[in-house]
Amino acid sequence: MIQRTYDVVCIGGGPGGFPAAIAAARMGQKTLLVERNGFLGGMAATGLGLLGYLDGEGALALGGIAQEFVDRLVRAGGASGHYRSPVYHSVTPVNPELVKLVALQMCEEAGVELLFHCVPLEADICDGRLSGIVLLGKGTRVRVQAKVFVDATGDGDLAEMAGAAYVYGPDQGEVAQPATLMFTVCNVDMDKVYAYAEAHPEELALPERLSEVLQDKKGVCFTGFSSLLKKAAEEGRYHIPGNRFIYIASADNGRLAINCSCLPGVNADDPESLSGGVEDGSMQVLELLDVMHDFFPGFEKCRLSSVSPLLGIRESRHFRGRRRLTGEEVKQAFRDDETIALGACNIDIHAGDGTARLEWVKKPYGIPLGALIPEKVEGLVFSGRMIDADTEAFGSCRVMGTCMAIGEAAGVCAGLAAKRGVPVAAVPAQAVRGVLVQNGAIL
Amino acid sequence: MVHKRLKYDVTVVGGGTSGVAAAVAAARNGANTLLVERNQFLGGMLVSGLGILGYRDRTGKKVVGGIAQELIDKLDETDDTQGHNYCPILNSLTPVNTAMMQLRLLELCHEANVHLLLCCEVCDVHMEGGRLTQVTAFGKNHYYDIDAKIFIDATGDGELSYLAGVPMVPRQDAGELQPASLIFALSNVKREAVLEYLEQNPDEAKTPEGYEMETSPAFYRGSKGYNVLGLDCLIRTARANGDYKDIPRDRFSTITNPLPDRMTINNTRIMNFDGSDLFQLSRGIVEGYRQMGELLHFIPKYVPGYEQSQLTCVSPMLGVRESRRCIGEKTLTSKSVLEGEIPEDTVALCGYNIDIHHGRDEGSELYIVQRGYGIPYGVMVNRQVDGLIFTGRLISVDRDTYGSTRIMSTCMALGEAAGCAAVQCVSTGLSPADVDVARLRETLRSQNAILEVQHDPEDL
Repeated sequence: MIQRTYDVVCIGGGPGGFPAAIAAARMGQKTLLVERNGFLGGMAATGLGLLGYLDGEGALALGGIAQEFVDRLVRAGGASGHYRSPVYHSVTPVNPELVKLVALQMCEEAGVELLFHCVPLEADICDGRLSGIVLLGKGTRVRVQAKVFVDATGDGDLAEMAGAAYVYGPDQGEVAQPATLMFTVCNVDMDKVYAYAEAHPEELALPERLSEVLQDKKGVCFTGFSSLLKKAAEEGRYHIPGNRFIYIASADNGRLAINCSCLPGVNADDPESLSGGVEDGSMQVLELLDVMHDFFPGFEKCRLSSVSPLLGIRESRHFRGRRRLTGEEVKQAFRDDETIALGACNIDIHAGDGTARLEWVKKPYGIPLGALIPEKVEGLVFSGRMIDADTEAFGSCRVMGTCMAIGEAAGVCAGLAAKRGVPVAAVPAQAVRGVLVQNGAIL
Repeated sequence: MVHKRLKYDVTVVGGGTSGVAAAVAAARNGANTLLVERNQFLGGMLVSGLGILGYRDRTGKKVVGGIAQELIDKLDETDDTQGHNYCPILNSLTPVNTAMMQLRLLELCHEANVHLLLCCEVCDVHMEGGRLTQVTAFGKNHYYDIDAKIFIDATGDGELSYLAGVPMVPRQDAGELQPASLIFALSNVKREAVLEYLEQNPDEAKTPEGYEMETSPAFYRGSKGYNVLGLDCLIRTARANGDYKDIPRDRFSTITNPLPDRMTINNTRIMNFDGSDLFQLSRGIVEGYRQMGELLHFIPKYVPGYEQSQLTCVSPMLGVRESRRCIGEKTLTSKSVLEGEIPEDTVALCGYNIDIHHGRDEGSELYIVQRGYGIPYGVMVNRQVDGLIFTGRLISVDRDTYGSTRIMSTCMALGEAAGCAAVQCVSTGLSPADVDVARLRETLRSQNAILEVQHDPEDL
């Protein structure tokens, strides 16, 4: 079998992954980033805007690589900055295609080695330590050894293989948040959309914030059109669970990203379930296009511009760390000297019937290092949405901007462990914070 | 880790251009069919942004029908194709909206009741005697041992055939293979500005020697969809200014899109490249993105009409033109291609030119193919490995012929033939190498596949 050895290996090139790899590589660690698709960016490359950058008062809550990434995107014409959002506090629309390019450029510049079209196949555990993995790609197996591994797969596929403890879905045993197949449309008559919104403020999810929505047209994350969807449903034209239409205006305003398909019951850890989700999601997108044409003012001539090449998974496995981030800590804006990233987004929990529960998060809260450290498996760091957080906290910290900050912290922690030759659990939070702050992170 | 056992009549490995057609054909003909695909989308190169070549031959006669045409008909319902357009360089060009293509492919599978196994790729095979009886696929910590009566290799790079031990064309080094390309599309393009520029600078769109036909702005304006190839002078100027660094492509190649302000750019070239090799593939993707980054500076700066253009779509997969090739019971040679032969055991027609891009240098070869020719069934099977049919880029053809048969419409037609052949094997117990080709051809004809060159006077 082909063999390779690294200091740090990061599995997953999405928002929780490429910042981790960049961080580790910048610390001088020989770093490999493994990605299943043929591109980087993961969910950031689907059309969605990034959430979590600004808090409820409009202050910046993320720095470091997360902010650097947006700065680079702005320079490349793929973003125009952070916008305050009535529902989510903050939305940063991005060009998903430039996300792919900028993420790759930043990795290349940092000296990260990239391996695409590859997934973890086996995990070698020795005395409770993850010492190596076998990757599979193009019918080829590769044995990879590393001092430290970072799991940024979203679903925690490597962690599961390594025997780390987890729970699937929310604490109370309800169904996990539904999946969504993202798509973008162009050729929308935005003047007509705004005119309608102004004439029917009751159509917006938060009618009292109408003027905010109309003011900053570039950064809009629009939620509404409930009565139009209801009408379509009554006519037998709309079968998607849920009653809200969400679009995110793109950075160049030529395209709207539509976040409306709703697929409850998709098990992200099961290819057959994922396949059903992609299939059903595609049928939902086709139905949505028809509904938009026939029922939504301004959308009469809209054209399909792109469909996400991956299914949008909001929630799957939650792993047991050394410390759990709780809803209480989120609501109390709690921070301490273990904080390695700030979360700032409102608690946003989607239910299987398409409704969403939103809870206000007034000020940013701290995400503790312990939530990234497995309880029992050594040599592994969790990143992104798989960290140890209860259902409420998860509703806030799962968003992409926050995952990027978590990713950078995971990469620094892994880098320090590799550099010092110590177990991941022995890396002091203070040391991680020191490196992060030096690199512009906001804690 | 989860281990599951699945059982199907037909299992198609690879949900790209050829695989979807194969799976849909098999399912529609009554087989319990599984389609295995490593990505979370179907279509492979069909969703890259490229226009589809080969629906008509150079004389304008229709050579591909069946499922491939059905797909275009579906796209046409929502104006998401520009139909089949004559092209002096490419013979026939059919631009498509790739996003809608992505959805329609899934819809085809959904309606035909093809079972999908996405997010999974083949990792092992099981042979019994000389027969492929089981394939193991892996994805998301799940192993699937898949039993099937017939397997179809539609992986493009031939992973399944390779693992199953199908004899393959030997290769000395990657420089012999056609280069790969990362395809991307730009929006907010003013097409008319390019045509005006070409009118003022006729040297900039000189048709390459040997293509026999002149392209011109008038010609482009008269076509619904077209391919602009040229702007050599602009590129020379940019190179001299250091603005077109290390891109081994001396002309600018663009294809129209059904969305009126969008153009697909086919200008990156990854040389000395073997896309079937995991590490080279990654190297190729990195290089493709580097070249694209370079082009994103060059294009708005130099190309008229593109000043405000925006990156709107990057192909989710690197466009691998050539990698492995199987050796079949028959091998199609360029002599038959250039003479337009349509043998009795033809199961698909092809009307494209022999189009070879050099793997080592910027050169290319083009041999005009005037009339559609037939691809015989025997190029899809090898007696040494029973239970398997290979399709798409894997069929047994010589190097020159490959330059013609590799295109997407041909791959779809081949896939449909493979799917129907597989069903015949399932219902009769025959080995793929012993398929009753006459009966197969009848089945294909009944599904509107085109096996003879016919007159087709109507436009799409």
